[in-house]
Amino acid sequence: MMEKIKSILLFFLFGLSLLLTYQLWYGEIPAQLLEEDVSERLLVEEPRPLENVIMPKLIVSSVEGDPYVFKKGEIGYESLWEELSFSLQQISFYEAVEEAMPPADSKKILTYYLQPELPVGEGLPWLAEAAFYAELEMIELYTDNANKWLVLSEAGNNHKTNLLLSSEKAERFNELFDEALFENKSRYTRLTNEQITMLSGYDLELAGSIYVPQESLYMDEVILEPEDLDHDLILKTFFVDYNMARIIEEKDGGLIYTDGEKGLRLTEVGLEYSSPRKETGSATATYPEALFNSSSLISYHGGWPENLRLDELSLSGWGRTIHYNAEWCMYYAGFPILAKQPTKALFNDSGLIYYTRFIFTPDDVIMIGEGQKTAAMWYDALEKAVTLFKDQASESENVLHLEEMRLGYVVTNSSGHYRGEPVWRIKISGETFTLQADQLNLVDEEDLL
Amino acid sequence: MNLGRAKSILIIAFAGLNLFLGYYLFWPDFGRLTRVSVTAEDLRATEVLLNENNYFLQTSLDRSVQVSDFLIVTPARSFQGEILQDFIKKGARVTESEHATAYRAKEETAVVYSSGLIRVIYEPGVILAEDFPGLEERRLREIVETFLTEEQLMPEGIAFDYIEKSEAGYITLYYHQTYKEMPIYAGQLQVFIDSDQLTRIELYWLEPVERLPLREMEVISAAEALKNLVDQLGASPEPRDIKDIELGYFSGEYDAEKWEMPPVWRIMLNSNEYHYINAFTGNIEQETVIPEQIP
Repeated sequence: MMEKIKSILLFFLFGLSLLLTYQLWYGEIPAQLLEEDVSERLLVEEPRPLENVIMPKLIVSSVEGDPYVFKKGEIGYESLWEELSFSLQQISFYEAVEEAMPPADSKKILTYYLQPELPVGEGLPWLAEAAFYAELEMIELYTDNANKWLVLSEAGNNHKTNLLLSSEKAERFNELFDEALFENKSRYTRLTNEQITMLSGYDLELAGSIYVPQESLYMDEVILEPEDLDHDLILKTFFVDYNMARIIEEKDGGLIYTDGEKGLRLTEVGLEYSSPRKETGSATATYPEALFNSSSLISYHGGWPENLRLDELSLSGWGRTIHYNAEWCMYYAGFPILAKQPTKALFNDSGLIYYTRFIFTPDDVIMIGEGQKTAAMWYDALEKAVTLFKDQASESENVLHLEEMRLGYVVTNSSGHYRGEPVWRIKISGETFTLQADQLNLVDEEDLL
Repeated sequence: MNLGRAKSILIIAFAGLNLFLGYYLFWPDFGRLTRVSVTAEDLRATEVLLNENNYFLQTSLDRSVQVSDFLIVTPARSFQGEILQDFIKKGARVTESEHATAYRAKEETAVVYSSGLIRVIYEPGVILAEDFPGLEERRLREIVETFLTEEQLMPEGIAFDYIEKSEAGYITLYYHQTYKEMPIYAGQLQVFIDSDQLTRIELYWLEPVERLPLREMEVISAAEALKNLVDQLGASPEPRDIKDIELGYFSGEYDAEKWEMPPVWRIMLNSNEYHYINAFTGNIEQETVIPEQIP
């Protein structure tokens, strides 16, 4: 009996040793270890191609009399821009430049103000056949009875290139100018130095082209929704291994994630990120590369929603820091939604240094109270801003510079709703004034989001 | 040899083999017990690197493989409350400013900052003993700790860290917090002595909420921490001694509800200069990266 038990035990132990050896040799890695080893694939938005990164700041149509202005989010803006962008992508450059100068009696019908500048030339979507590279700040469309010309103005110099459009392309532009394009649109005025100096009573100079409505505009007061970010996904886009990041829970409910090198703050309405050690890197990317990088960054870290426009891309720096500065703004019906903290990214060759993202979108334009507000006339708003500037200026300057003047929305939070309040935003010699669009009272920046 | 004896020998042999295989497969820490994080070769290479950069190792390194986790902490409000209650009993007058509240009693003032830091100022200073600066360190500590206990300023889990004496006659005693035998370097008590008078106490105390065993990970070795320190500080212009290297928890001071602290290797150079190396990432812990508004 004893021998029988020994035999069974020996047989069992032999079998067990084979099983354990097999498990040790060929055994599967436990699932939890496998998860750690394999980098997770993140489902994020694809970056926009270069053709869709840049859009004009303004498109001004002067087909009949005083100009009409088309801005991001307004009817007609997209089609006018797409037509020009498509023409520049398709145009045969060497054919077009022959006899390209518009005759003296031709008339300017469209002006595209490009900010950021549009890069054109070899290897780029626009004028790919051209043997030169240029960054364009303005494109004008001229016409006489028979032909149409594009006049391209380069940024930073007075160089202009003229392109004669084929009859087919000219006809496509003609088709855009139907009555519907100008329906319910207000006419604008392009400000001049003399005009603003005379009306404000101060010596004022324009720092760029500024268009203002000729008549009072009605603006909807809107309820805004902060962007609904997937916090888990956002976290993974910033931290390769977010197990290494520690969490700081702020008193206001915000969450900070930091691994000692970089920090990410997630709040109810947006995010802030910084990686200060990357500040000292260089920025060797070319302007078109930087445009694409900006698209990649915003698409990867939260996405690029419709009606969010790239407003600025510039190379700047302080101290030993050189970086590209990209800034985006959300638009509603042609008006910018001016969040207190912009959606902005600073990046260089080392990667993303700073990133803030605060995007508010109109929630179906719910009317509040009286619904619409009538914006005060531009000259009243300008006079108020100049008076405020003079009141707070420590030293009086002889000549003031009007850098920005536009209608838009600021974001406030009252009675549990985020609201878009219509305002005049005016910048004089570096000082920005935000005035209620109707009453022209100065808006306290502390009350804004 | 008969068959029965052969079977017995084989049973013992297979039982031993199965135990060995079972250990490797099912005992997660077994591997760790047989491993060292710093081999003799690593140690030699580290010392060579340190010496080439003018750093000299004057302490032994913990060579075992260690694991650690994040520790969630919150400012110790209850302990803070006890201290302030004591001031109110002494008839303290309370004045508030934006980031601090002051409790002014007759000869002492407690200032409480929103981050949780408490500063107790004695005016005039408290004379603790005759010839106080001349006392030996052990006696000096005894007197200070007796005073702290009497004043109810000696929290549980406190551990003496080090002492600094300046030529001008200033003495500072540093204490830090501990939690389950691990130092929490961010939780600190500092006692400031000017000549023979105790003039100020600064207390930043934390309340450990929980450890996160789900995020327990193997930490980098002490040798790797030293290499990272040299990488990040660069070569020293003058010879410097590495006096101590110890594992603990560390973070900055936050005006926050609660936060997680990572494990760090604290490296002490001569002249009481401390550096904290994150024991998970290997990065030097400087000012915590809190996203700020874009300049």
